[in-house]
Amino acid sequence: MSGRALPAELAAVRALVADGLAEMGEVGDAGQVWIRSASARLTALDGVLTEAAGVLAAPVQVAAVTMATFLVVAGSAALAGALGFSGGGVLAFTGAAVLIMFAALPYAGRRVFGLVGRRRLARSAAVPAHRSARPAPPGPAIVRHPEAALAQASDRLLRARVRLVSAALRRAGADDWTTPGLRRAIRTDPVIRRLAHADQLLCQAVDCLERHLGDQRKDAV
Amino acid sequence: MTRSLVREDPFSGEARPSLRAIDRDLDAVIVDAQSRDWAADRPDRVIFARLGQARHQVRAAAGRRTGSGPVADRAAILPGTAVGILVAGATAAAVGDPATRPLPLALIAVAGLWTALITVAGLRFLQRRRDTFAGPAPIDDHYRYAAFRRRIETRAADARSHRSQRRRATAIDLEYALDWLAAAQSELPRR
Repeated sequence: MSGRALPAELAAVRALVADGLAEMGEVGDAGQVWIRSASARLTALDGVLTEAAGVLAAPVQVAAVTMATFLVVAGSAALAGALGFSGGGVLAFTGAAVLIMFAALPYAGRRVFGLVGRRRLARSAAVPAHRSARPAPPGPAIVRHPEAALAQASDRLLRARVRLVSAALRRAGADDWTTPGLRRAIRTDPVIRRLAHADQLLCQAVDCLERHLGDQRKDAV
Repeated sequence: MTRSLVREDPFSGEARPSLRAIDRDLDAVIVDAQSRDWAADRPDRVIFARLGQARHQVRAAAGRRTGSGPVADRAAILPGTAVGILVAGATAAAVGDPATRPLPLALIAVAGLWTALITVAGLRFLQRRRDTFAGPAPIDDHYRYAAFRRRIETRAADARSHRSQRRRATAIDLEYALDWLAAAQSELPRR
């Protein structure tokens, strides 16, 4: 799969999710606990998708970590020497610096991936934006039944899920379309791990909406 | 995977189950169910989502609200790190005194890093051959839900009687986790 296609696909997923959120907002009972938690899931989903789009290629990551290690170790050893430590002291100082660096690495990675992902998504969303814009907002005269709107929102979210999962499967490659293969891919591939998390959030939002609809049906009876 | 395949075992020696261990085992079950759903082996999008909510609450109780959670691939990453540290240490010991100068030390550290990365890649390649478990889905196992419930309840009871107020507040998160666990189990086909 080409590197270009994933951000475009994720941008489409985000557009669908945004439409779903808007439809949920139209209903207007944001006070409902299930709707509120569905919206919370979808909001979290956005950050995860952005990160997934921004994961750098493995060689770039290896090069960056190598550079960081080299610079941190050389710098901290020079600093320890300047402070007048002897052999063991230099090693201990450097070891502490390396530990701090590796502890900060996931945090820094998340920040960088978020930034890169936002840029990539913006670039790939800019091209088809005029095409995917909703043709015309339905006239304000049409007042839909809130349940119908919610059902449509959950439909839309499920369509977003189909796109998301197929993007993840394409990323995993056809050789891995078995249960153990996908399990391993979710564990080891940083992009697929994030996509799996996003898929989980999407399923949770749909589940919350369905529970809300089920409760309403129960109340109506 | 092997450890998480243990069902309810009163003699597991887990007098105080750690939230990290619960989180990890829930994660194993969820990842398995999700990969089965993606592979259309056992299509079901509700149960793993609810278990995911339970895991979210357990994680909140553990105080890690953000982040990707525990190390995803411990079986490869922990040995890889150990090998890298060992190689770097052995090289530094073999080089002796000049190893404490900045440039040689930085080179040794980079060598250790690369050894760790290569070891992780090699271990993952070996796992690819070995990890072919495709038996019954652990998410369908009622005993496993009982085990999770027992462990989370133990932690919640611990937290409720704790001195610190922050620890007592985590009991609420754990109760939400129990609710979601029960909601997940209610979707299972009855036996």
